[in-house]
Amino acid sequence: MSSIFAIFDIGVRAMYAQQTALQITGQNISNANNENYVRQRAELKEATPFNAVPGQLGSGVSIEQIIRIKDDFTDYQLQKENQNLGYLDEKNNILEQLENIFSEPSDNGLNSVISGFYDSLHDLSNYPENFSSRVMVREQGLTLCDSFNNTIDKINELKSNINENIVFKVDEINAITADIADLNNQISRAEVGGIQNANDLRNQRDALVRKLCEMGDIFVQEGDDNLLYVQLGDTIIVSGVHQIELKAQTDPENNVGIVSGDSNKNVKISNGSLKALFDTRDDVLDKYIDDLNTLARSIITELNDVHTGGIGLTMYQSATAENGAISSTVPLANAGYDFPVNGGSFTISLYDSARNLKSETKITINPFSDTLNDIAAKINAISGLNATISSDNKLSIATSNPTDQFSFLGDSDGAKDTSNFLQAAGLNTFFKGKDASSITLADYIINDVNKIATGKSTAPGDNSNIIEMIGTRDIAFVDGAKPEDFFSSMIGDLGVERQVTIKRSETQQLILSSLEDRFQSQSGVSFDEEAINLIKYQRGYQAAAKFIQVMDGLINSLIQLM
Amino acid sequence: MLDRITNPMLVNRNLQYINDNTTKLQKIQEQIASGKLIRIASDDPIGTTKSMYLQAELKKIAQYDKNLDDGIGYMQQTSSILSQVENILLEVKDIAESSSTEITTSAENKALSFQVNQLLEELIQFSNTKFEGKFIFGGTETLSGAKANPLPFNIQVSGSKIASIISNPAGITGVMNRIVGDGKTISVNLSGKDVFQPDGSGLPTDIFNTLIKLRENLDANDTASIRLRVGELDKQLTQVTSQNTLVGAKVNRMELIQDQLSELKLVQKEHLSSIEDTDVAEAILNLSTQQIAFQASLQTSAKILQQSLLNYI
Repeated sequence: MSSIFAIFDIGVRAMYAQQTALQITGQNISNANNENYVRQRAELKEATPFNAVPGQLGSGVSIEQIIRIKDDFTDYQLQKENQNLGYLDEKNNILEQLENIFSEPSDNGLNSVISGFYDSLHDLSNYPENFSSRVMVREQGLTLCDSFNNTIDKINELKSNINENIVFKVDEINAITADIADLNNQISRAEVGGIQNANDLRNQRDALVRKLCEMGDIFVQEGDDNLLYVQLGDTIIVSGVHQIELKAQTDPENNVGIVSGDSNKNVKISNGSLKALFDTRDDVLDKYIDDLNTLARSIITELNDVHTGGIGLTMYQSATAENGAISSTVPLANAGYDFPVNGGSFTISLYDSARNLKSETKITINPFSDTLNDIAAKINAISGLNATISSDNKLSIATSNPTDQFSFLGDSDGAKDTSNFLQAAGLNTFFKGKDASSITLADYIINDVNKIATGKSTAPGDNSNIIEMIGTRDIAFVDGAKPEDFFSSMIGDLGVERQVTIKRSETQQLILSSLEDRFQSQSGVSFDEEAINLIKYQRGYQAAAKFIQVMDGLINSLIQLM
Repeated sequence: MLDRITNPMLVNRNLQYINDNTTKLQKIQEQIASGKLIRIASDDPIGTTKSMYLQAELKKIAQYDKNLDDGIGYMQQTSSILSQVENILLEVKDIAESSSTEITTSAENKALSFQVNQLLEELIQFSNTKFEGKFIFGGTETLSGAKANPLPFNIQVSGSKIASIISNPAGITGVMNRIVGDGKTISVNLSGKDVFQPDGSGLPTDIFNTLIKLRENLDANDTASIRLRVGELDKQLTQVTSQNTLVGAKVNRMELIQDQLSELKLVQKEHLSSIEDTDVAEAILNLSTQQIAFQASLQTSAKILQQSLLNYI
């Protein structure tokens, strides 16, 4: 039989246990609105009994440990699904910005600018002699070029935003991994010996891991030493109490990549918002840039091809090529022009001031043997014309008699350039440039709208060339599609891509919110439950106190005996 | 089914329901306010492509309509000039007939010859008429060039009289087309050659030549030749009238195309509207349904979130 004083200990232990449980209830209630909080519970167990006869006798209650109530599998799933959502959300975000750049369907997108340009050509075909309709074509042409330029500029801006975003995320990851390493240190020290559970520190660590998961494919593993090892893609970023910093590295094309600060090796990331940033930057945006370039280049080629075969309201007294060759002594095929020069010929017709034909000369070109110097020599051989080559290898042609004028069209046979030399060198073209970022109008068109080649003869009312230019609208010259169809299917593709991303992101959101529900169902705080616990432990505490009071009465009776 | 419902769950779920409902409300509100179902391509990618195509088509139709208006104006002006030319020819024919059938003195014939000369000058003026600053009968040579004979029809004077007419050596036969449909063009100008047939070699179809000859015949009091002129004038009248009929027929054809275009425009506008415009009645119905759902979610949230055991202890 034990000493009566020892029975006090049972009461004290009970009061202590209830008090601790109440403290945990308080902690749970306080953190009810902390979304990363995992509810805790005091695990009560019988205190070590002692041997007696009859035995054994219990010695009350003790708190075995304070545990977090959570399911590791839910945690793992949350990590995985957060990666997917991070990817889809970021992709959706970028696609939305891209959609806003194109802003279709609208009255001021590229589609209506293309329409507006063709409309101005129509008006010019009705009034080829009118200065004002020529000015309209120039302005609409410039608007078209500006639209291309601006769209490309904005996509490139979006690209550099993405790069900045990657740098920003690298900083964020480094900050998080530093915190995780620090928490690892604290947790391992707290838990050494297995007496304490660092529940609150672990909650914080889990929250940081979840934040990391939004950004990339994160793998975590807890070692026997209670340290969390974190891996991003194929690279370890937290090794125990050490953080391994990531570095953002800019490549020669100004694209940011991520390397491990340790090994300088590229980090391969296959999920999360970082993956979305890399994907959109390297695939999606480039695809639309390529498409825009294809569209712009096709428009340049197709319309210039028609334009070089026409004559404006005034012919040339002098003409300077827009594009220079890399050298005047290499064959034209290798002269570095943006457009190829083929075997063929073009014609220069020379007229007096009254448009009477003086001479008509066919200049044949073999792109593999003729150099720019050879072409200049052939033109110089024409009486009344001088050809010079500037220091930047641009060909200039001028009439010797200042009132003479020339065109690039056969006067008798209407023969146009078959060598594509005019387009390559930029003579009598409408556009210059080679893609969506460089497209603009040729200088001589900007300076003199009368050079817009409306006709196929020297007659001012001839609108046959402009009609042919308008006809290109219905020719499938852009990758097998008409220019406007090409563009609208591009926008359709973008729309579908974003729609799919939105749908997938919505589904992902559902998956995640049901997982969150599961997490909150297991680990969240229920006020009702805590209220019941509150009463339960309060009663426990009261009963223990009562027990001590009774024991006190017993001792009192004992003392009375004396 | 989750059996343990905690407060964060309740709060999260209710918040999600309220958010969903607000998003839906906002979407419907946007559709009603903007009148458009498609704000951005991803709202309806296929609809967007269609709408872009239809918008371009509608703009094309408007442009064809404009081209036709312009062409019709041009041809109507041509037609009215041709009618004036017919009148002149009728007047000249009257003069020739009266001189050839009635006995006229040489003095009277001189007076008639003066009249014919005046009509000739008038005719030349008409043949060089400009519409919107461009020669109607000059082919594609619509502006006066810097050449020796810059007008479509240039007067050669011998003594003080008009001796012959030389047409613009750069040509007066150039064709001017107007685009009236995808790959469809219609020529809107009459060649000066077809109307006046000025070939300079004195063929009976050359109107100027006939008038000049008639003037000379009247001066010479040469009744026999004057009779020949009457015959020529008859044929020339038919020639001009048939050209005018051709113009009329073309105007009719262009107006017919315009009618077809405006019908097509209506159909495509309707199609476009069915793709991208909000059906306001339906949208308002959706709005009120959604409003009820929204209010319900607010009310239930307010009620459920207040219930707690804590209220009773």
